[in-house]
Amino acid sequence: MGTPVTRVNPVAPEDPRLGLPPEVFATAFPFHLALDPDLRFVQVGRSVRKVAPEAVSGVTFASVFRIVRPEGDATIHFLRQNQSQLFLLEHIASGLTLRGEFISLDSQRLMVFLGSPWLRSALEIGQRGLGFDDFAVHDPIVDLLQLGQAQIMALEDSRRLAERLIQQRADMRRANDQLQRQNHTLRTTELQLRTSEAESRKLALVAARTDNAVIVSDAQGRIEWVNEGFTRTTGYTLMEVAGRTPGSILQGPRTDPRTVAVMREKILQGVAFRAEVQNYTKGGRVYWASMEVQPIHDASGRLVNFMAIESDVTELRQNEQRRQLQHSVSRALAEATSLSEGIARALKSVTTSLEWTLGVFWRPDGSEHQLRCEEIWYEPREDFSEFSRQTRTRILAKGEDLPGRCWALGSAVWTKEIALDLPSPRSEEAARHGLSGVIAHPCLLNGEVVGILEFYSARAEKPEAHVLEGLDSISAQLGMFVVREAAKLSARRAGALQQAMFHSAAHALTAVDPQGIYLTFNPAAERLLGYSAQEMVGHESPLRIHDPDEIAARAAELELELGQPVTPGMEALLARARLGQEDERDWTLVRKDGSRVAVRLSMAVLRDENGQLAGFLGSAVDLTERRNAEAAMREGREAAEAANRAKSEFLATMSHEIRTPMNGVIGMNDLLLHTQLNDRQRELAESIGNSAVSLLEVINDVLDFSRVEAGKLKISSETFVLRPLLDSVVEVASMRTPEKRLALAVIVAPDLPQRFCGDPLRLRQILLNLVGNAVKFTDRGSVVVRVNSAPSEATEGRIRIEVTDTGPGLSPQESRAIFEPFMQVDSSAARRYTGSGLGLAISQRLVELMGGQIGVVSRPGVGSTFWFELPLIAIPDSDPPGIHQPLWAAQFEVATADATLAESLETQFRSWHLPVSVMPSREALDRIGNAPKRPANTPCVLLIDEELISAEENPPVPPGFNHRILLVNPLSPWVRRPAIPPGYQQILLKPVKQSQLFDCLTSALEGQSGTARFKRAALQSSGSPAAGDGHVAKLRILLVEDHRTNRRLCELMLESLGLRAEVATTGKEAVDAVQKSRFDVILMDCHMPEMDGYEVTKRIRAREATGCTPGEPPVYIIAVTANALLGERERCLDAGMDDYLAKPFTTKQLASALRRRPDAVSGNLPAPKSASTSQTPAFTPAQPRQIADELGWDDFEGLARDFLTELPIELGRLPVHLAAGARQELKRGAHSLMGISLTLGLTGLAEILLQLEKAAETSDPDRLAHYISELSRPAEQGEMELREWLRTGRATELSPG
Amino acid sequence: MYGLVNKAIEQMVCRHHGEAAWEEIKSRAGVEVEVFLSNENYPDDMTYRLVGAASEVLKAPAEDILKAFGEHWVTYTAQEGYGGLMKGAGKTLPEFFANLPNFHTRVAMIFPNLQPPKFRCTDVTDRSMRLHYISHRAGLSAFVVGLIQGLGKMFETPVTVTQVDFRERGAECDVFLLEWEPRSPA
Repeated sequence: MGTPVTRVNPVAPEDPRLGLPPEVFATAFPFHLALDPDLRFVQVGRSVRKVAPEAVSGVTFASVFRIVRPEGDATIHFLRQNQSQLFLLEHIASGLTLRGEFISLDSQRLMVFLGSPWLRSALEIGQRGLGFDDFAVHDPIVDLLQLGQAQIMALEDSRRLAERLIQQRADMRRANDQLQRQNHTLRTTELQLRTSEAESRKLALVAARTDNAVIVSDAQGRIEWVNEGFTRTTGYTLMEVAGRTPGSILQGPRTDPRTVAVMREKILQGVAFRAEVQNYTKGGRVYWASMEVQPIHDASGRLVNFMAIESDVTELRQNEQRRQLQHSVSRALAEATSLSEGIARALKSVTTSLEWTLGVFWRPDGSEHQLRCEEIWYEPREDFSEFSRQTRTRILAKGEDLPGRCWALGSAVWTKEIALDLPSPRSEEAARHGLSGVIAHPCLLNGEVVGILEFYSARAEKPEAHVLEGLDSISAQLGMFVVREAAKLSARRAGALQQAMFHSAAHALTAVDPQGIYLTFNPAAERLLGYSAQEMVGHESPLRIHDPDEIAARAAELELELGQPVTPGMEALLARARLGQEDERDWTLVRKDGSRVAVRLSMAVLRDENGQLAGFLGSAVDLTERRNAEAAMREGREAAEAANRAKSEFLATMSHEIRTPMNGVIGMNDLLLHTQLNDRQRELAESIGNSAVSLLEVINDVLDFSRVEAGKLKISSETFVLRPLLDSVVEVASMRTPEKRLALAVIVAPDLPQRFCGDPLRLRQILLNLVGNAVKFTDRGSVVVRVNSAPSEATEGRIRIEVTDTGPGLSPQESRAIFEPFMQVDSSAARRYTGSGLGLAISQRLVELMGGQIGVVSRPGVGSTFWFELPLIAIPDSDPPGIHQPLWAAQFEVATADATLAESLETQFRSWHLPVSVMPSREALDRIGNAPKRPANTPCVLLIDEELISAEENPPVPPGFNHRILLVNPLSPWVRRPAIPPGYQQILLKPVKQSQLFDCLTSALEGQSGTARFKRAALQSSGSPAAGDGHVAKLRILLVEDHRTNRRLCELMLESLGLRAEVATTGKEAVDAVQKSRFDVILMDCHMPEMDGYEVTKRIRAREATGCTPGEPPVYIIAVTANALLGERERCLDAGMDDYLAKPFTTKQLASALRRRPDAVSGNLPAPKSASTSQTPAFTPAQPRQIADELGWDDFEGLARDFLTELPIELGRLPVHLAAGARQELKRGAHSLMGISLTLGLTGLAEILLQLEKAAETSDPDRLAHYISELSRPAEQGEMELREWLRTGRATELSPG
Repeated sequence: MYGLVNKAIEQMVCRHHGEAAWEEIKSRAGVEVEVFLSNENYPDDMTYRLVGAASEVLKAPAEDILKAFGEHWVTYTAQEGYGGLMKGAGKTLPEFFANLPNFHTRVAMIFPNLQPPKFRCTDVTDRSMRLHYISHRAGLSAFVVGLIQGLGKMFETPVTVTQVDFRERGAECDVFLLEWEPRSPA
């Protein structure tokens, strides 16, 4: 509800009561003017009178005021006309402006002006002689003035504010500057302070913590402060030493008094000095102190303190002493000319260096039971002759006297009172000379005591540790010296023996020094060569007796062998021996009389006792007689081989000559069978055909055999996957006699690698023969192919393949003869089974050619196992075996009574690391229904052998399994029926191939239709033309491609897969070809002039739809296009094609597209590769390298060079198409060039071609011309790089390795 | 409070006691305004604090200070901005007072956020009148006395001001009796 509206009576617009009395009018309008029609003043307002006193009645308006606005003359007419206008009147005398309006009072014949002055500031009021009273109260001019004034004040405030701000900013800046300066000063000061503090702290810390001992004393040398280092070194604390002099605490008997005197003098002088002196620690240990003493002066230069820094250099001193000792002994031994001299000099060195008095060297005698004095040494100034005599005559047993004890212990023994500890005449004699301390030290070599050192001293002090260490090393040196000298002696004796042998040897024995000059030349060598030892030794080298050509040839050979330069001289004879390698070979030597003699010469290196090269020993045997015998044998063998080869070549030629007309016979007979024949004629013709095929097989065998025999068969080496090869062999064999219902199986050891390097074709031939034979001769039971690593160590790296059958078996005689050519088992079998009888002989030859062995183990009535072992190189699997996720999670059970099938499946599952269990009987299968339920979320797959259930119409459906697969024989009714049994997902054909098993399991678990899988299995096993695993069967292929190079490339790839294709170069040719012939596959280029691939496909599909091809499945069309554009694949599929292959592609990709053929709808097609990348290099070698590898270098290079020749012409066509407005041709041209460019690695060119192709239909000509102009640079650059790559690639390919 | 009032305090202190005294006063009063804007409305409390602080710093009773401010306001501060208007408002003290209500009405009109006091003149004679000062603010009567005395100086008419009614004592408003010697016409 709204506010209530109060109704009021409207006020009349002009109420006559409002007529103003004159005095009210005058107050309300103090600035009014009233004019008569002549525009003379009739009345003037009181305030006007103040500013314009001349405006009085009768005076004309125009003489007092000027009309400023609106513009016009001051006439009554003008004023009347502008009644509603705002007038500005200027008072002529004062310049004051009045603002207001003219109102015509017609009844009074008056023109009235109502207004007020226009003032610009309040000050003007006073200046005009006016006051507020002169204005009507309602006149807003005063308000305006006040407002204006407020604004002026506000402005003034703003100005002040701004000034204040400026000033404050200036103040702040000054303050800031000042602060920064202060800050800088502060920082500098602080830094200096810190540095000096740190320096002080560091120094204090150094003094306190240094390992050196630091002593601060007063000017008189009394200790004021010592650091921790001092306490550590001496054992004295500050408390203990403060106030005392260092000398009074630290010095002792061994301190050198001369050094002490010098030090004292320096302290008195107050100067710095360095000194080394022996001091004593608190515990009495003597140590060498190296000290640096500095006087410290105060500011006035007065000596106030000394600071001494001492370090313990005992170890340095001792090391030095030990080194000197070792050095002097080494020198003594090195310079000695005899054992006794060496020992005497060593004894002297040790005794004098260590300030001992006398030294003895004892040595165990040969019997190792007694110790005898070998040498004795003492200062000659004292007479130790009695002691010496007693020592030399003394023979000590182990443990006797000090040396005997040392010998027994094998370590040093010491006593300080020998006369008391071990009284004997000898020790008493020593004591008489004042000698009491004795040390005995063993000389050890390899742990054996070879001598004892014994030293006597007047000091009864235990030798210090460093002295003992020094003795250790000296005695070791001395031990070696003694043994070496003894060995030299025996060597001299042995030399005489060798000499005798050397002279009486029947072989020519010679030795040369490292430079090749003869050292010896034995009498046998003299006899062989006619030179005397005198002529040769010291003068000649073996080059004198060698043929220089042979030497040069050997040098070249060695360079290759050793990979290092070998000069054609002595090095050719010695290089291998020098490397420690065996070197025995035949040479022709030249006798002194110029005649030649063949010898077998072996060279060996000679080394001295230090292992250093001393020369070479040559031993030569005369080969003349042996050579003669060999030559006779060789001649005989060559004659026999030539005859055999001639026979084989004859056979090969004959077989070939027979085969050609045989092919004719078979072909013609085939044509004959396609004509109208009556039953009898057909029977005869079929008989001709069968006989001809059998004959051809025999001829093929003969041909193979003769090739092998003639040495014409070469074994190739390539990588192949073993399992598919085995599967295909068994599959082929199984199809020969399906009615026998043999259990065929392949069992490959799970740990065997998948890929090998070898000759797969020949391996397949051997296997086909062995498995074929097994199937042929076995009527019931099984044929199993087993593959393992060869069992024994001797055959390591080989694989062993066994083909075991349950056939009639062989007698031992038959087993022995079975590999002979043309061998047939027996006459009755020969009648039953056709064949050349060459199969096993060929297999044997092939196995031997491959470096393997073949054999048979057989028992009549039980069966045979044919086995062979081959040295195949295993290729490590690049990827771990990939098993789909669904398989990992699943459980598998196999129900079969066929042990062979069970084993083959079990092995297969094991190789995939999948768990499987086997139910061996129907009863076991029936029990499944009663078994406890399996976890619901675990997929369980059951594979049931048809043989368990064959009697029933529909196989049973055991519960508890998510998936059931029926294993069937090729003759099973389920193979012929269109449907699979109810409750089953898949049917799997026996013998079970690995790939099929995998596919079958995967699709069962992924829930795919079993029919498609079944179809595939059936098609493949019936030998229908499908590209199988590992090999590609014969396919009828039509290749539709307009570009020459592309076409040739594709043909080469197909050839490498063992396939040939019919070729169509236009769409029309393709359509014609399909009408004339039946094809399995069409490889369809999409972009062709006139009729493109999409159109061709549509026509082919239309023809198929009209029923022109009854009974034939639709042809499988694979789109081949370089169009990597999005949606291209869909476009191809929409047009009716089955698959899509993006250029560039590899042979492998082509093969896999062909292999995908039966499953075109699986959608598992390669994703089109994006061709558009920025910064693309002109040439990218990855693609061409792969294709060159696949095709072989020759073919690839030819292809590439042809293309490069044609490239400029092809590029030249593009601007012509553009100029002619032929956009489609331009697009096609760009497209086909792009495809081959990518294939050849010209990626830079391909990228611009792709842009050109994309833009060809829609863009403006300028843009297209731009693209075309952009092509030349990447084309040239790419061509250059491709040619260079071809050149270097060829070189790489030809280089070894 | 009108910024012009605070500005007057600032000017007066600075002129007679120096800027340091002013900064000290501002600091004591907790006032951080750097420049007072004449027509801006500042919290009344700020003015009171300034007066209180000035009283402490200058060691003078607040009343005296307010008086001095009032006088200074008329003689210096208002002259800067309103000199022309003040002169236009009358040639004599009585004329000026007669116009004073209109003047403040206009201020209220122009700056609606300001709350200027209202003045009413009664018992007007040629030598005396009663000035009724009606304001929502308390404690500024001494300021008004100073203003009146300033005006007396401006119009060269020494005037005696006696507050006759006190709002703080329960009167409706503060009333001042103004008495002056009539001026001989110039």
